[in-house]
Amino acid sequence: MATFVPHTPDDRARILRTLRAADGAQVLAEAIPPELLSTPRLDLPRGRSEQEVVAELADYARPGTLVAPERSFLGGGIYNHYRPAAVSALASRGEFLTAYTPYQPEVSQGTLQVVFEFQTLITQLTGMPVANASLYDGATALTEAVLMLDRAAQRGRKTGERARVVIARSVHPHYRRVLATYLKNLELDIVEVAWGADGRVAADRLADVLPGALAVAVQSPNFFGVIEDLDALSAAARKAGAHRIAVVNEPVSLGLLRPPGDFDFDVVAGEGQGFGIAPSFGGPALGLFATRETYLRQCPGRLVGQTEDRDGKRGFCLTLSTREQHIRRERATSNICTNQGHTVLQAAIFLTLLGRRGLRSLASVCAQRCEHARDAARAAGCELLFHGPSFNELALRIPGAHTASAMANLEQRLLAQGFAGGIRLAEAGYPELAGGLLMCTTEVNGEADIDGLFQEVRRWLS
Amino acid sequence: MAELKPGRSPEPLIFELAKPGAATYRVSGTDESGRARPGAVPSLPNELLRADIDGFPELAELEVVRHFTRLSQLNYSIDTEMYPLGSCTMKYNPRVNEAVASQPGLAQLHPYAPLALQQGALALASKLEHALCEISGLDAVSLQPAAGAQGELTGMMIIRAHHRAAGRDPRTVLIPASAHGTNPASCTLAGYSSVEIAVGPSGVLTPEDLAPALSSDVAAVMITNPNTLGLFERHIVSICEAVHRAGALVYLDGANMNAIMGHTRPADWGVDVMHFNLHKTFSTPHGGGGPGSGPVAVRKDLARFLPVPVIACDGEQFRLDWERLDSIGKVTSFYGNFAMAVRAYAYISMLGAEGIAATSEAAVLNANYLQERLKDLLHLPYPGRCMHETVLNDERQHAAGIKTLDMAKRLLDYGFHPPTVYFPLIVAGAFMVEPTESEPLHRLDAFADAMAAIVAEATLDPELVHNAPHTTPVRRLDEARAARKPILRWTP
Repeated sequence: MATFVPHTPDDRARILRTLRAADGAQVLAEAIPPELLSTPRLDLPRGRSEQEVVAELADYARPGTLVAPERSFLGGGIYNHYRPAAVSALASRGEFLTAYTPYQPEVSQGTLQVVFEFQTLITQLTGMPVANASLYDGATALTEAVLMLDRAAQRGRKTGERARVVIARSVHPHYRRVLATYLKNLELDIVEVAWGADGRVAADRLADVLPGALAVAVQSPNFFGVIEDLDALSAAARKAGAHRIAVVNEPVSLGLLRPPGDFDFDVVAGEGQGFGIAPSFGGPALGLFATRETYLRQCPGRLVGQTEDRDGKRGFCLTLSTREQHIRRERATSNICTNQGHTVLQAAIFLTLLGRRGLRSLASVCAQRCEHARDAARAAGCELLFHGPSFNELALRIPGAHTASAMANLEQRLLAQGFAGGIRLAEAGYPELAGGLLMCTTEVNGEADIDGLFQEVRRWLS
Repeated sequence: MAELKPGRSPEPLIFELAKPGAATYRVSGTDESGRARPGAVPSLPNELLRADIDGFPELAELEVVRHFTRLSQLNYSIDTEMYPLGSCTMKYNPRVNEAVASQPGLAQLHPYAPLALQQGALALASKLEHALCEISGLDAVSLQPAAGAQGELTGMMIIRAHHRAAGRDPRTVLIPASAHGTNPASCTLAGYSSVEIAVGPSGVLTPEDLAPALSSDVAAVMITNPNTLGLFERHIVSICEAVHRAGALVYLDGANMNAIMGHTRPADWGVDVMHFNLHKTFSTPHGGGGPGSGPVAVRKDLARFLPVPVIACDGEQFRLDWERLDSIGKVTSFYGNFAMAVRAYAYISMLGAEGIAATSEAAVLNANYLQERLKDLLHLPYPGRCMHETVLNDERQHAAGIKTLDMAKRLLDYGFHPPTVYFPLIVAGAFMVEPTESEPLHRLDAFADAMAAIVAEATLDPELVHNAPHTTPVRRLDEARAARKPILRWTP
């Protein structure tokens, strides 16, 4: 039996002596009613050595290596960026990894300063003045944004009166689903607005559903990789008196594209996984949340602020905690407690390492590879679903792969050659785009890999 | 912390260390100067592009490495010393957890990968679900909730869906006053109003405490067991019966599962829904505030309400089942904090059935040992055997004008992280100690010795205690000022 209980037999004897107990069972029986202690032995395997457990987990890891990273063209909210060695080396230091939430600031300045720097980096990237210390992921960040704007508006709203949120259908399907799950129990309804022919939300179509809406949420680049006209959408929403939420799914795009803060958005709700965090089958990810100062006291989650100690030395601490559940309980701005501290750290290291030029270059390389993919796709006879400007994802229709079974057949064929070619849009939540494939390129996918993919597509077609 | 000298100047901010123009990290696909190919992205119109990222840092790699290394050294951590935070279960986080979670086949696995690539991950997740069912006695688990608080919310959504399916929608949830703050906050988010139930002098809930509030408008009772006083709720079975008779369900906050695994099971008490905290009970690292993972377990007839997707197995192949008509929906993107599930599974596999039970027993023994050693120093409001944690307070130090906060801060000078303080709210000046099973006896003794010294100082030299800490990288911070004039980012 392997446990992490360090006691020697003598230690154990001394503990039991101190407790005046014959054995551990007696101590438990003094604390728990004996009739509840009759649990049979857990029906789980016997304990194993670290080496045996590692061998078992290596088996579980094996299928995931069927496709090499450079041959994976999967995106859709989780991006395959190269993680510099320094990110994992620094983030895995035990002083960061095994620290608790920094409630005791005197011995948590490391974590606190990292979060303060992270907050600053996110404000610089989004163009918003306030960023929090993280939420779980992009989906809950969007949800918290809607809840915050509702809270802020509620003062003027009669109870029982329902509010409406307009959300672009080109926002990540999971995010819309999570939002709907939360709102089912609250006085808020969701209205979806479709995309236009170029894959962008048409400002005039948005205007039709805007009157009386509490808020509008659009994602840019959207789920299809198309960059929205944030300027026009924001202006239309402002005109109708609706609050504006910008969702950012691929955070690396902020290195190249004008940020939502340039277009008078109220909240940027995003996914930060692209900043040096491993895909890990979708989580842990990193919920980004940035907003205006107006909403500071309605903001969900933790915030780190700068202050001074008794000797006048600069220091950092958790602040504005009266918004939070451990103080305000049922009237808290959110129920979030544990957040994504360790992925915040990874993102902060990643962004600092790449720096101003590095992040911009990274974003440019991703977009360049996407242009290469667009040309290669066209040359292979694939059709682009949308012609709006795109960052690093493309929605394609492959001739001859219009049905689910043909798509599955293509996927198998590509997999046999070691490629994961893209996300099947019909299965990802867009049945109206049957036959559509969402393909993503990052700096990890070289031009030769992209050419190799389309060569396989051509072979499959012939 | 030992190497830190008092008065060491704090680390500058990364923005203050930045050297514009420094030779920084080179991204693949760029030239030697780190620039992307010229003529960058012809199809993107200029009006979409940003000119620069104002204020963004630029530093050479070594400078970045030194900065974050120095910052790490300003932290307290389990890897350096005992962390007796009550309610947080700061146990050893085995290094193998990190090794298995970072294997490329799991760390690089994309959530939209073809099903063949997902088989190992789904098999592993399915095994963890089975283990959590076995430990709780419940029938089905979702690993999707990202943390304990989200597990609570998911559980309350399931409870609401259950009542609605039966054509009712009671709107009240009863919560003992000793509960974590997340409990009432999660209820609010599920559209419930929460009512606080006062607990009698025994510190445990009785059916009589609950009876007056148990109306037909009650949807659920949320209970933490062992409770936040570290006491086992000995009336739990009759409480569950009473709650069920009233047509309501019992939700268990599983934050304190480390005390009972392999010895008694929530399902056998009558619990209907609960959450686990993988980052407490199952040794996944706290990471300076997360990520956590808050799997939810339910009784068989509630399984249809679990979040989508659920893991299904068609004989030979695992798949994700999205076709669940009664599901509450989705609570996070993708499948929750999967990499935490990997770590927890590795931990459970190493312990095995006997190891899990031995772990909980040792956690209880360690807590009781510390309670014995501390109860002559501090006031123990609820004497008797505790479970995995003990709650004391500062009543005996009042005469000297010393408060719990002062003693907590003074512990920092002795090299210990303070316990949880001022929680649970029902104990004034609470001092909540949870040593966990992984702490060696000589560290428990050293902690108790430090407390004995501090209690002596409280009488002999109260100013010393009152002004603590004296040896940390910074001293007590002006938190009021931070909140009054918030500075939440660096500006040039």
